[in-house]
Amino acid sequence: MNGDPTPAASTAEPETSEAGGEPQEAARLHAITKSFFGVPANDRVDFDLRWGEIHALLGENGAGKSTLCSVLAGLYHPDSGEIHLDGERVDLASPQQALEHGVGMVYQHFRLVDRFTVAENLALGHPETGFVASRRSLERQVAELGRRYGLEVSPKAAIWQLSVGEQQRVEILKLLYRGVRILILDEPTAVLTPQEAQSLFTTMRAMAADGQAIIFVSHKLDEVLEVSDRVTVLRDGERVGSMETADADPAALARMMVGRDLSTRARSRTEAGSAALSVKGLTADGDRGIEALREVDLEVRESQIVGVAGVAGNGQRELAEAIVGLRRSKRGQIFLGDVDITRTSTLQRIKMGLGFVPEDRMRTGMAGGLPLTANLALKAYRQPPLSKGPLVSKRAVEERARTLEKQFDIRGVRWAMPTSLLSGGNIQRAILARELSARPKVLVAAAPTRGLDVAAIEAIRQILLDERDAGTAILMISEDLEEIMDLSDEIVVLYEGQIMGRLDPDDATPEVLGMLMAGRTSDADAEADAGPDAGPDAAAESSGDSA
Amino acid sequence: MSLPLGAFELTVERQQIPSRLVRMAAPTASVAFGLLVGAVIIWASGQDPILAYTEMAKKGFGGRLALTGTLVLATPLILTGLAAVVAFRMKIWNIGAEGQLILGAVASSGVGLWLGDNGIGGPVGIVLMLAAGAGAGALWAGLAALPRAYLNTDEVISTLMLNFVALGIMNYLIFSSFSHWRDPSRATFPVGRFVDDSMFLHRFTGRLHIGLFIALAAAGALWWALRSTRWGFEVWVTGDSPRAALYSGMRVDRKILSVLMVSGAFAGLGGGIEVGGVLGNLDPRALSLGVGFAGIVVAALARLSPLGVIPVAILVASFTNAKPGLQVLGIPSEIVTLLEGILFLCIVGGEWFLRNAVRLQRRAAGPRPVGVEAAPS
Amino acid sequence: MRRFRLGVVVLIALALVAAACGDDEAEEAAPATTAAPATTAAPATTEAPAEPLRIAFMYDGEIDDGGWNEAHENGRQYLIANMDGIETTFVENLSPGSEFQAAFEDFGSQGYDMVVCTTWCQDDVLVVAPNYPDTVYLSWGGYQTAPNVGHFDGATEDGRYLDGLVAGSQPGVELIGYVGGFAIEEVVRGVNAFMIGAREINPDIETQVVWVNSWYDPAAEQQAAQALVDAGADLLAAEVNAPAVASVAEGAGIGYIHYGIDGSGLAPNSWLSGFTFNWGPYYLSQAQALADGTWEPALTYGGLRDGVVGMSPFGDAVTAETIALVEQRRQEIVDGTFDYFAGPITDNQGNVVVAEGATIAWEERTLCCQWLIEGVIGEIPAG
Repeated sequence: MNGDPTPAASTAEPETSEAGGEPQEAARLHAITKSFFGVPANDRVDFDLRWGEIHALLGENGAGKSTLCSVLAGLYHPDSGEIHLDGERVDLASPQQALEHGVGMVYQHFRLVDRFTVAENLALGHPETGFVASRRSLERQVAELGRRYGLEVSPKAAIWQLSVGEQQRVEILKLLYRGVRILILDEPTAVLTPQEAQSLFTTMRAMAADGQAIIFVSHKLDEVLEVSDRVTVLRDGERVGSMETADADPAALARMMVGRDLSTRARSRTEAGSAALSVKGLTADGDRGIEALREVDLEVRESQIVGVAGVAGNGQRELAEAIVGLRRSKRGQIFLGDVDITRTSTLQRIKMGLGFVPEDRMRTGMAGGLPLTANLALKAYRQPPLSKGPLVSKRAVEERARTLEKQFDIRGVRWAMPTSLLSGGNIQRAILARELSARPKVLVAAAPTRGLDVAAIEAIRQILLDERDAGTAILMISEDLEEIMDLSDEIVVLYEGQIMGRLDPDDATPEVLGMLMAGRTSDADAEADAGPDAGPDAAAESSGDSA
Repeated sequence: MSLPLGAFELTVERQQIPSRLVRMAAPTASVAFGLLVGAVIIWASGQDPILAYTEMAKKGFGGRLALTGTLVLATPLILTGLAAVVAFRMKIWNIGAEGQLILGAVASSGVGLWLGDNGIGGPVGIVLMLAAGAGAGALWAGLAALPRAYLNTDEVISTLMLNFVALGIMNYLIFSSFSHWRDPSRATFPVGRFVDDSMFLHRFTGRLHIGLFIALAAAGALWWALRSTRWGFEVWVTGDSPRAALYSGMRVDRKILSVLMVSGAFAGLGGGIEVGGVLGNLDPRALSLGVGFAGIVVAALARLSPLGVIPVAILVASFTNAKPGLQVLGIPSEIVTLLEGILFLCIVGGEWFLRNAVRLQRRAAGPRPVGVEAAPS
Repeated sequence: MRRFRLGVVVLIALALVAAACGDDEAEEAAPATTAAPATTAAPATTEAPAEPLRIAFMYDGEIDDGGWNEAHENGRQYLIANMDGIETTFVENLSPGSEFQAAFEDFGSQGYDMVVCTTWCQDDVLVVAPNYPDTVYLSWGGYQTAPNVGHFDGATEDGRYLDGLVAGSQPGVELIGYVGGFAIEEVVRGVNAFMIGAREINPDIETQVVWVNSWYDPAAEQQAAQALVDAGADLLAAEVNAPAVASVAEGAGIGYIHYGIDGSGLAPNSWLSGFTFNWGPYYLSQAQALADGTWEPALTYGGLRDGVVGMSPFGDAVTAETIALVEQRRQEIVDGTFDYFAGPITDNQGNVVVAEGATIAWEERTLCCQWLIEGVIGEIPAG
């Protein structure tokens, strides 16, 4: 499709199933293209689905999986491309129409009315059910469906009383009750415990055995290998390939998902100095009070970039925030040089030379409503020459802003214009300008190039490399594997709040990284010799020597 | 956003920030429009709008008496306006200026009386008296600020409830007890004791007292502090994005505390100045007139500008000052309140229209008039 | 900010244009002020009877509030009906403090001959009055006169005593519920006189007082009245401004006694009585004195004898016998042959507050009372 050199991709082209007449074809999407604000989320994607199969859709965050599903579910109208259902070309203008064609989707965020009972939620919006009249038959049907597919849930329970897993069952029941035969599950396991996930897989298999077609969206290799019959891999909005799961090689799948050849980087290795940032046994809660970071050990030395890879939501944000002091750490210690900063304030850490480029640029990294001049002074306003005693010198603030704008090539700034109106690249340059002008010893950079255009990405990366060469210790958190492999002097992989593995970039192949990111420890062909069933800790230990 | 209206639809879109000229002209147009709407209403109620406006202008600003009357009424309004400005700048919704003003008056009169009882007066007494007012207002606001800063409770409810508590305290001190504040010798009607004459604020001409200049200085000080100090810079950042403030190492909790206390201090100073410059004692009937709430309107009309509060407070005060004159003409006093409301709506509405483009257009499905496409370009 | 200021500047500019006329008037008034002392102390109006006497009234509430302000407005209407050569105006909904002072100033500067403030405003008057010696200021409740400032007040207790007779005569009434504003002397004095009247007929009767701690708060008044009914009150009386107590009495089907004005319309079935303030004759006397050039600053405390206090029509439930008794007492008080405050009087703590043979002299009435009389359940909040 895109001339990708990935070797395993072409082994099983999806077009093998003859278009049109075959009775087993449940759905076929042809050359689907869908853009948001000019950025393609799906680019001429083909996809086919057979009755009675579980078809996994695998890819990194932002690969276009959800978009493709939403097109099939009638939520988005594709810019171009065709949708065939049961051999017939259809135009799905709304989720309602998709439902009429037997296509339904369980979204990551449930769409249930909390205060209603299960039965009421099922009856809600169902065109043919007069609710009062058919309450009893409805409850009977719910119980029957539940038995058949292992979706037991009390019809009389109110939604808010149910666990997340049970709520998901209600979502599935709702679709089955409305006659859905093509079921799309968007990252269904993301919200489930392992036990609940197993129970879901049982349900999926039962439904497939009944002849229904299921699309299973996931970025977790293990699950895909465990439950699916076929797998299609998406990357950067394009289809990389499809294959029978039984034939699939985990390493090849990981490579397809991550998709890059070994890096083209021109690494100018500087000699790493002494440890500038050390994290020992760091454990912290996420926003919902659940442990999002568990026993993390890290070390970043002077003139070194340590890249933290991982799929978003695996503890990266918590790690960065705990290090810079925006999040309380429950256990463990953080050292800046030799100094324990675990209990010091954010301000103290800033003063000690800790810089931070946050992933949320508009509300954390910048006060979006303020002019750039003010934002460039965010930390430096406390020291001369910007401040004189309790006063802030307007002129010094402006002069500094002009200097930094010139030095870091920040463009598009107009007087008193809110910073949020600048382009993403300029905003990121400005954040870097501010952080680096403080001459930090350690810089934590989260998603430093996400959402930026190519030119800006190049510039930002060069800035980071130059800074590294100037002696700064940089902890770079990124979902972009290319970036991780190109820039890092050492790579760690975060998975579910734990360090899944540590790699030397020279040893890091996309396969290995992809599998670690997807929660699988390295197999026989990877460099680490941990067994396939070894936990993350074992992997961390065994590969820790390379650090 | 769009609203179908038969064959047409009304669409609303946010638009780019308009040019400075437009932005400056808009409020003027809004005020003019508001006065026009007010004129129609006055006319509809059977009165002469021109006469009404002439009278309002005359009683608000015409001559020394009218002007001093207006300025005396504007003084506490400026201070409660500033109280709202400083809090709202940081999106802290202090609607307790009323109670903070009352507590300020209680403390000022209390300290003033105590000083007088102990033979202290004059400028020293005045300074101590006003400082007590500001301090009491700050502490009263602090009662709401502490739980807001450290427990994240809703300051709207706490500041509002503290208004009623303050009112109860003041009424109790004068109407329901023989407290330090009450004049025991005057029984016809319960009245507060008067502070020593030497502590009355200096009067320049007529009733115009030095309190106005204190209020003006307060406005200037707030303007300067917000613009030129580290504190002001931190308030600016925190008001826009508390997360960015935390990120840059600012103590957001302390900022909330200090801002609410400064806000309360302005209102409390307002109470102290009313005692020292107008009343001379603690008079519950004259201190529970909603000046604290009016300050919120003033601040909103001034678009949260400390210096903008001055002309707005004077304008609003001029309306109040014109109330008797209008009634003598047979125009009900409610017209004044109504006009304030209309002006407020027009200015807020004008602001909205400035930021949103509203278009009435034929709906896309409807047949397109040929003439539009044939029009020369 | 800059934007708004522009608008204000326009408005102020408009105002200043208009001010040109205003200044002229002020200048005209000024010479008159200085001329006055030259022609003795007599007000200028006596020389030119052709020019009407201009009188302004100031109210702190609405003129049709069914209570305090309406009684004063009735007085103004009485004045209009009974005196020629006058021109009156009124301003309602004014607030004490700066607003009062501004209004006093405004009327003074416009050369009004007399300004009547119908609520407590002595301290505001005294700030302004010295600047307008040609204007006479009358204020309710004050005691500190000035060459052009006089005060007036009404003897609530006179009316309250007669109301108490009516209440005590109602068959089967054991507990009276009384809703008061603040526990200030004037109100307490009224309660005590009321109780003296009630106990004169029925020595076992009791009165429970609830203070609402407001001068006008319909919700609180309603709650207080309901609480009294719930506590077993079989008659309600009020000294507050809102009509809430009347409607509670009407709803509960028990007798009601109003305050200061004829309130029979508020509770047609429950209505018993309610003394009235008749300010009209006082206003007339003051205006006439001013017109005649004989006005002197004075403290006027008017009761039944002066006609300032009267009674409104009685309700159907009041017997002819009771009406006759009330009329008899009224006449005796007017004649000076009966004094309801004659000792001994015991307060509800058991202390003798007025000894046998003593009384509360008319001149000292306004200083009373800081005690509640025997038979009143309740207390004056401690201070």
